[in-house]
Amino acid sequence: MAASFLLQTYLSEHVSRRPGKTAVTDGSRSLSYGELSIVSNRIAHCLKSIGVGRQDRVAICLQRSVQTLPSILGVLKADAIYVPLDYKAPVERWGHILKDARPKALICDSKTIPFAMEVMAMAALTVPIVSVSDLTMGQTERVREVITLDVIEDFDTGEPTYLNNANDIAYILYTSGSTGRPKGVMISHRNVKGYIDWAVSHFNITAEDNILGTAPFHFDMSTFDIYCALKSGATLSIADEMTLLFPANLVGFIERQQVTLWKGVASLLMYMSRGGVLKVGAMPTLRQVLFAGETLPTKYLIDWMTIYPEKTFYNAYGPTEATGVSTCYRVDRLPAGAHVRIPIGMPRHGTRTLLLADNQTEVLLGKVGEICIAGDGLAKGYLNDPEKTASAFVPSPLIRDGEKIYKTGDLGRLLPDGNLEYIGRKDRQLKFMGYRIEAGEIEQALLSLPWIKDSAVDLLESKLGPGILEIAAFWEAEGEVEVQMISAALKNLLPGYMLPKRFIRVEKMPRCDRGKIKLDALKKNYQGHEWKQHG
Amino acid sequence: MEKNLMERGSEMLTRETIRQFILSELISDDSRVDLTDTVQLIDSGVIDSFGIMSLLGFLEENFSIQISGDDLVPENFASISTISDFVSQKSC
Repeated sequence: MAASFLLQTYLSEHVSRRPGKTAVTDGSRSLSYGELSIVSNRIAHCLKSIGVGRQDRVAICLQRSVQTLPSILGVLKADAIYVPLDYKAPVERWGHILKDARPKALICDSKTIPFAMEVMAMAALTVPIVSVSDLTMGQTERVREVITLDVIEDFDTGEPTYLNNANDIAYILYTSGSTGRPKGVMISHRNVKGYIDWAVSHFNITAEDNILGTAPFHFDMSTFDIYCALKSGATLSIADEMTLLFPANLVGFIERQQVTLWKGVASLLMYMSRGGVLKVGAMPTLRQVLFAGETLPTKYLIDWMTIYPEKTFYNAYGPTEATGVSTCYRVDRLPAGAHVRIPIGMPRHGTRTLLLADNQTEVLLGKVGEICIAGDGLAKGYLNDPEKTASAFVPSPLIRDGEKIYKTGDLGRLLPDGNLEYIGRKDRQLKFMGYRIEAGEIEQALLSLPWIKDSAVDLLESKLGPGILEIAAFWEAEGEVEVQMISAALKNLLPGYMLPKRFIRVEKMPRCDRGKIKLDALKKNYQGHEWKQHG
Repeated sequence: MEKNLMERGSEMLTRETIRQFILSELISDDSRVDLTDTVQLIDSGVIDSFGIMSLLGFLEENFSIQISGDDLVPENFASISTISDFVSQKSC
């Protein structure tokens, strides 16, 4: 067996070569590589002292701060699995996750301890809490277990011996899942290694880089931030909530920290553009910008690219279940207009994609199919859920004794140049007149029209009678727009059976925080209205 | 100068409208926060970077105002009371 790789060993080289180099900072508080190593060792010994062992789970429930990094590494150094939680999540969701993950310990800070206590009381659980509140600069930190153990001052600062191997689980991320309960995606040390090896080489990340961290640690997006920094010896600059909330603050932070690389959620890039903070010459050190998590409307990308022609922009795509980025597209020229769709690119090194039709065969070139991913990023599955694991992670139907593929539930199509294009979610499939229609395809067609700002498509009961459904398109636009214009333009883009029969103009598309359209609200709000019907 | 009855009435209505939006859209678990007019929305995490976009969209649409980049400062979004003042200022 090859020498087993473990994520925490990324630290070793930098600790011996440049211990004073800043590993992580939030602008005011920082930890050097040397300090990060010492503090994480202490946390590991503390966890071991309360009985945390190999592949036990430890929940991390902290505010966004530099303390998260030593906690994550401390858990890994204790041979355990970290489970990052959002302390602001509803008590019920917390409770469900804790019952599912059964952690041996919770790492909290002074702000999150009351939440943790409340959740445990509700879920009738008792898990020891390790508080890292007083952890500052690596010298005065006091790590104590607040429920069952007394205050413990001095833990060993030496590196523990590791029992894990590369196939052991490093962390579990709970995905929100639009329906049903959150599922815990199990990611191994090896999964992360393949991804980070690619990322560091593809984006040419070195110790000179300063990586901006804007993703919450319970999101898969943060894997990039943490481990690209640790592998390359770069600095991770964590923007706190106050910085993220106000675009001018974020620009200031990027400039002060001299950030060079940022992988941000698309909505944040959109927010900055909308907030009017993109100015020629600002953020001069920032060279590479990746946007991910959702589709960045092209008009905002055009804003960015027009103001910053010197920076490089990438569209990154990938589900949590396949670890970070599965496909990536470098936007090599300014899009010709807001109607241009930005591809999600080609599979990264170590990853393969295929597009499957409903009958589990590969779709013809250019046709829409479900994006399926194979390769080194594929998770071990969902914790405690063999059924969901078996239905999402399946043997490839294309090869005998096929390798495992992950069925994303996302739809895409292959462009003639070999790049993939993201179309939408598969579960928005409408069944109409015997056809299976992807709502996302109609929405994309609407969005490609210059007048349409936003769109949503679903089936609505027609005026012909109860139970008779027809395709309805909700659309948002500015100024005067004739429905006839839209309908005529769509005829050039879609086959007849996919053309909406009703066009309903909305003032503002109702979207959840994460950008998803609230179809129920939409249908409810507009049910009683006079339909703008087109015959 | 003391506000007249009508002004106070409309201010209460604005605050109530904002409160209802925050309760239904931004707070996932309303048992956690007692949403008074002065509770610190940013410090308490009620408004975060995921929620602020929908809040801006809501304010613009509901109160027919245009929010520009210069308006995006913490003081305007500190509490229901400051958001309400900000909205009436913009509506003038």
